[in-house]
Amino acid sequence: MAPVPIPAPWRPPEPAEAAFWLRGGRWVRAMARLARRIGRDRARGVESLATNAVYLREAFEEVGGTALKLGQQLSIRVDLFPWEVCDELARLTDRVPPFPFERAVEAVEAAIGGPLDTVFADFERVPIGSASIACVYRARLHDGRRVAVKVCRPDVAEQFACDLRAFETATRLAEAITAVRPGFFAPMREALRAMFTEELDLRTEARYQALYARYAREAGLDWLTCPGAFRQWCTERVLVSEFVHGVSCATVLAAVEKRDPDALAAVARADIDPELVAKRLYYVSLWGRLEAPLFHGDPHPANLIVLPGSRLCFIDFGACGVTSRPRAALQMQVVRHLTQQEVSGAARTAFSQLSPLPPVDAEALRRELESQFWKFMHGLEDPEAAWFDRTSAALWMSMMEATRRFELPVNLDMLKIVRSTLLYDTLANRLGTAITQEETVAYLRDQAAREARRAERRRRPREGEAGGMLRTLAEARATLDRAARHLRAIPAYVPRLRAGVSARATAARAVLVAGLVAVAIAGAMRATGRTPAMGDPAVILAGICVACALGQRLRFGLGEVGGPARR
Amino acid sequence: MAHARPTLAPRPQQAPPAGDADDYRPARMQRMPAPRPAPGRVLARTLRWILGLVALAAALLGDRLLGRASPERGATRLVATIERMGPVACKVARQFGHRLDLLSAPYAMRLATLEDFVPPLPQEVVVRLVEEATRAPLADTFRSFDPAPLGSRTLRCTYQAVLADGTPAIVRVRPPGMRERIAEEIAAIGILLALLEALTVVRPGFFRNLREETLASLMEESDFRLHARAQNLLRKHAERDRLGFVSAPRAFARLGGDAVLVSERVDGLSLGEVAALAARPDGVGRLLAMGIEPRRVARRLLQFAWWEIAEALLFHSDPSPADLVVTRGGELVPVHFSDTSTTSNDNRRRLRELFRRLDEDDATAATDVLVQFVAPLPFIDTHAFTKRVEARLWHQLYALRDADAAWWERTSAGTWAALLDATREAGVPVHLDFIHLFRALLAYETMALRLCPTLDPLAEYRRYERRADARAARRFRKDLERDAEDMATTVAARLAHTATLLSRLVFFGETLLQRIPFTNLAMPRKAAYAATVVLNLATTLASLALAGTVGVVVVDLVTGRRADVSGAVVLVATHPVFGAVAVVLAITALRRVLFRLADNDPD
Repeated sequence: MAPVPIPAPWRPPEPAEAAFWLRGGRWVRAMARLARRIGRDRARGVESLATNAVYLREAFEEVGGTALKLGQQLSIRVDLFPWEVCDELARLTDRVPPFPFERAVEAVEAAIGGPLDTVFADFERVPIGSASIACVYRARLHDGRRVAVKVCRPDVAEQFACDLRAFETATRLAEAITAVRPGFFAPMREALRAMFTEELDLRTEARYQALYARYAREAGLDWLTCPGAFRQWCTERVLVSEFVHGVSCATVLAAVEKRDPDALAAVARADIDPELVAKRLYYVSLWGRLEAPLFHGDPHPANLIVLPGSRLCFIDFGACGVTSRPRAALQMQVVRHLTQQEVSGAARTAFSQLSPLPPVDAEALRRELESQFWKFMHGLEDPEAAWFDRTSAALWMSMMEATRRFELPVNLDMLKIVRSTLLYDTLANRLGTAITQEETVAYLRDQAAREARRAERRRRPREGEAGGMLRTLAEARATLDRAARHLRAIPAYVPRLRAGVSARATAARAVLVAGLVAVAIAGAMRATGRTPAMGDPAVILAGICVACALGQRLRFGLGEVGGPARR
Repeated sequence: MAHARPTLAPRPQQAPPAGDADDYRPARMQRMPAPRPAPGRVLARTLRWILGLVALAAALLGDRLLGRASPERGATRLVATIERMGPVACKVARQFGHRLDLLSAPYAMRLATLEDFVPPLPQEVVVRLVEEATRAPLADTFRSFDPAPLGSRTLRCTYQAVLADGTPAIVRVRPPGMRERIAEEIAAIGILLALLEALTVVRPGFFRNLREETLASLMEESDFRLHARAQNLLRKHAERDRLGFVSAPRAFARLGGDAVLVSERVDGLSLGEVAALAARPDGVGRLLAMGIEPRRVARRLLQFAWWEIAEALLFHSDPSPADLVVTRGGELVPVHFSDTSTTSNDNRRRLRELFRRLDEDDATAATDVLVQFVAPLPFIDTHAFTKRVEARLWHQLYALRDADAAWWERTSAGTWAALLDATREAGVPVHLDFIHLFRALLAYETMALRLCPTLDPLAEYRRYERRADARAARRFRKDLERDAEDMATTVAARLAHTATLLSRLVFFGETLLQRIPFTNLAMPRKAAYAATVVLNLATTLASLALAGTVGVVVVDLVTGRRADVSGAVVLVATHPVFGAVAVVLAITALRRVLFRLADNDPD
């Protein structure tokens, strides 16, 4: 059988040098303007974090294109930047004029492997959405089904790569001149690169869509769905999925917040109950965070279509997140404690979520968390509290402030959870006033039922059960055996640092080389009839040579031993 | 695009629905960060404080020389100095007076009596502030509004009004600019405290967190939305627990804002007035005529205090007789919610246990609980510490049991003093939430026992606990009823979960065995890092010098001059450019090392 090559995972291309410099120039200009505006305010004594944040957002808008996306991504780093900055960056609207239609047709034809009319009965020329990464077109298949075709911008990968490189260059420079701690931006660089690689590959999005629909179905949430993708026509640049007919959640939100009777009537005619939508959104937030193996990471109102019967349909799965199981279990505990008003317990569980802790005043941190939780509880219980006091937003925000003050590392998954929970809760609480602890209790009840059902399903094959048990026992015995072996072998674990060993070898080699060089110099001097003295230029030169050689050898051998731990 | 494309037919565009995503912007949350004080004004205040304190120090020295020095006299002089600094200083100092962990009792008690009266606000300012908060002209909201304030303090001016629907109301207004002035004052005092620590007048770190904590609590006090919330919460929970004899005035949150609070007016006597009347020979009769029986009010006060601390979501940390209204019929209504606090569930359990053990006449067991309030203890002689507390606690217990003891001996003051004197001597840190807890309790007990000196607090506590048990049982029953239908599924889910956990335990054991049994410690790593950075610096400098020397020699050779290697070395090594580069590199290396040293390594 002939071997089938497995394609390598898609990676964004390296940008052309000229493109990078052009793009970099725009960045430098925007940043220079930003610095000038901040400096001007500071000179006048009117500087404030809020206006600086606005200037920063405008700088991103000035650069334009994928910078908008970059800014939006930075807005989730509530652990690094103050809240005001993040809030302002989140306001960047990702709206860019569409690219020439012909380029889109080229991409789609490449994806379907033939002319457009082999698959589509008609294809609209004007996109229904045009953002910095892709444009979305409406089309109809030959069997009459309506589809949405998402096509990546032709130059988007390169533009992103340029922006990314510009960002990396700038942050590395900042680290090199030790304006910030070396390694400060390293996790962010890594995260951004990973995020872009994921977001630019539309096949990943198609997969998320399929999985999300499946998990929702398995959980019995018949009111939660997402458009199905036509996987046979999906490439990294083209995504063909069902077109959903519904009302954008932004429309519902606008109707609710403006209290516009006409708009509300239209919403009601579409068989949509905003209160129910709010409750379901809140439910989805809990389900995604505590139970599902995957959650929609960007529940912006424009990414949510409400279908008749107040059914929710998420679109745009560019950013999805996962909750690790132990963290989900801990969060479940927090939620349970809060429903029972056991505030100290909730705070303590949240505290254990932060482990392993670096050396900080853990008691002070715990107390701080607890006082935040009490305040949050007051907001939850107050019947007249404003929407933002009833969401977890205030709690997350103050927790992030605490982590910043205590310099705790926060991982990216956690940030995604924070951001998406913020968005879900905010949206739910703005849409409806009915979100209370009762909703949480209802969710917990459903969750227990689901878990019992899952356990039941797992238990059904009776004959397999005994086998599983025996296998666990056998494994336990093997573990015990291994434990005994380890106990016997402990003396063999002589602590040795490999770096130390190689450094010693390098040093020995370097000294040998230095000795040889010295002997050669001495020989040469003897031959020319001069006696070597310490002040002799040749000896000084030789000394410098040896120092260089030795130093370089050591440097290559050692690098920077004991550098900051990677996070 | 060579071939014809019948597919590409223009189609009518569907009009976007009204209120499209275009005009969606995430709504802003209302946050009130503490204002940043203006440096110039802070400096001016600091100078004034320094002058005041120098005069105070001179006066205290004089007292000492004349042999008249005593803590009470010192406290009086301090209070006089602070009063000269103005009302804002009084407000801040009053807040400092709460810190019984830092100050000795005479000072703390005198500071807590400081008053922060300010001249009343101009009428038009009040009207503007109220109209801004209600977002409507004054006449739309109120049927009448009395421009003469009932009271005027730094953070609240109180006015009477009648709402449009005829409800009598109290309107509190925060004078504008006060938050900034308080922030300035605290910044100035912070500089002074830092100075005291720097000059080692007190132990460095003695005032740690004091500045931030005071600022935070005063900023919370200045946010009237929090008062409204506290008011509504207390009301809700008193109803939930069917207390009957306690309520809170309704706060109209929709009419107020962070600077204005509109709440129901409660008619009745303040507790201070009740106490004053009760002390007069004909007073009790008049009180009884109003349906106020002093003994009953005192008992209710104790019941309320314990309930508020142990069962409600928040409690008054600084209750005063003027802020508690007793209505006709003897209902207790706290009317002022600026100083509220919370305490952990652990502290609540400890408090319950403390009273129980005292009631069992077991001061030894009670001491164990009492010491738990300040756990974790630092490295001190725990045994001696506990013994010290216990000795005092026995005396407190005897006083509680002595029917002829004076009323103040039967408050819990002795209990807390036993602990705090020991902690102050041993340098054990006391946490703020505990201070709030016992201050509140003490204040309520003082009020109750002054009103009715023959009350037995322990017997009252037994009564309270019986009722609290009944309430807890009711809540539990309600929970059970709610969960009864899902009990089976919940149990099944828990069982399944446990089974999964068990099988994972085996796996965990396996992973544990695979761990290498030693870890690199942070300090050697950091030392190694510092050494390598220094080494790299030396290497770089040597390489630069070498390159420079070679360059000079090459230039010499090219231009036909005699190549002088030693001259070139000296030239390069003493060249200002080389020096500048060396300095820059050295500073960078140093900063790298410093950053690395400040790293929080995971082990």
